[in-house]
Amino acid sequence: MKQQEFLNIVLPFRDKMYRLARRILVSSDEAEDAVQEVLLKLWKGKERMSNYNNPEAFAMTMTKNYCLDRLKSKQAGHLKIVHSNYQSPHARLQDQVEANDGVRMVFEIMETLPEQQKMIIQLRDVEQYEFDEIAEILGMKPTAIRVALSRARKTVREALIKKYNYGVS
Amino acid sequence: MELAKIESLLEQYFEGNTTLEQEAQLQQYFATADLPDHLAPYKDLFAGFGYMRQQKSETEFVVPQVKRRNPIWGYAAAALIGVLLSVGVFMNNNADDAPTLTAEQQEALEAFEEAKKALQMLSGNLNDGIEGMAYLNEFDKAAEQIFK
Repeated sequence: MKQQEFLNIVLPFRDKMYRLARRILVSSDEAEDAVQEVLLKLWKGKERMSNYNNPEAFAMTMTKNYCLDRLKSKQAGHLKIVHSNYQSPHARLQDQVEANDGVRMVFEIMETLPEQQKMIIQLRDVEQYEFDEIAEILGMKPTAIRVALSRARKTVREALIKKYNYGVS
Repeated sequence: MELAKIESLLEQYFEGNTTLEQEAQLQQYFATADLPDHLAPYKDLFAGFGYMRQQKSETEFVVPQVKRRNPIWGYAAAALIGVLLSVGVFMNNNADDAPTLTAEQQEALEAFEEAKKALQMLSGNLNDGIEGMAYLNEFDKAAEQIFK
């Protein structure tokens, strides 16, 4: 497979990989690193890539696995992740200057979700994948995904309304 | 879209029962409409998803090149090895020309010189003796003349 061929396959979903990585790892630098690593792995295994009927789902699965591994080794190593979770959310939103406080709240609330719910909301509400595709990426049953998605959306709603009321009163 | 329909769609949304099309409708509605107060948080919710969707990776992926070494380095390395070898051989020869001898070898060399001197003396004396024997030839000649 030629370099250009590979890039043509990979580039359409590279940003989706990045966003998933960023949702899991929080830090944009680490997300960039994760995407590079996963793309490198895909490039090395590119001969097998034509065997996968859905390279995008495969790449997303690899991204998910890579990021969860990173997260696990970080948590095992030290408590840095706990710190970076609360590391000035505003700095991270520098690229969304015009985003208002309510939107910032959504970002913050998203970070408090368990990894699995975080990923499901990311894949559904941000990337707008069908349930079948999410099932393929996460290796879960579509019904289980619906349940987790509903739970995640309700958690976000509750937290958002709470923050809203707090802001008003 | 009327409010009642939106509210029921929203209800379905939180149950995880909406389709992508319905979710797109919700998104569009909350992005554009003038909203009653109790729906204001949802505007931020869907706007937040929209912002997340715009995040982009800023690092270019460069396919790693398989490094092919310039053949000139191969030649250069071969030439360098050749030069080093010949210098080494040259130095080695120099070392043979000016040997540094051990005490034992020195002693042997001296003994050799002594032996050579002694043998030379011997052969010189031997030659003197042979010269002396020349007179015997004269005697032979005389004897031949007599006993012919």
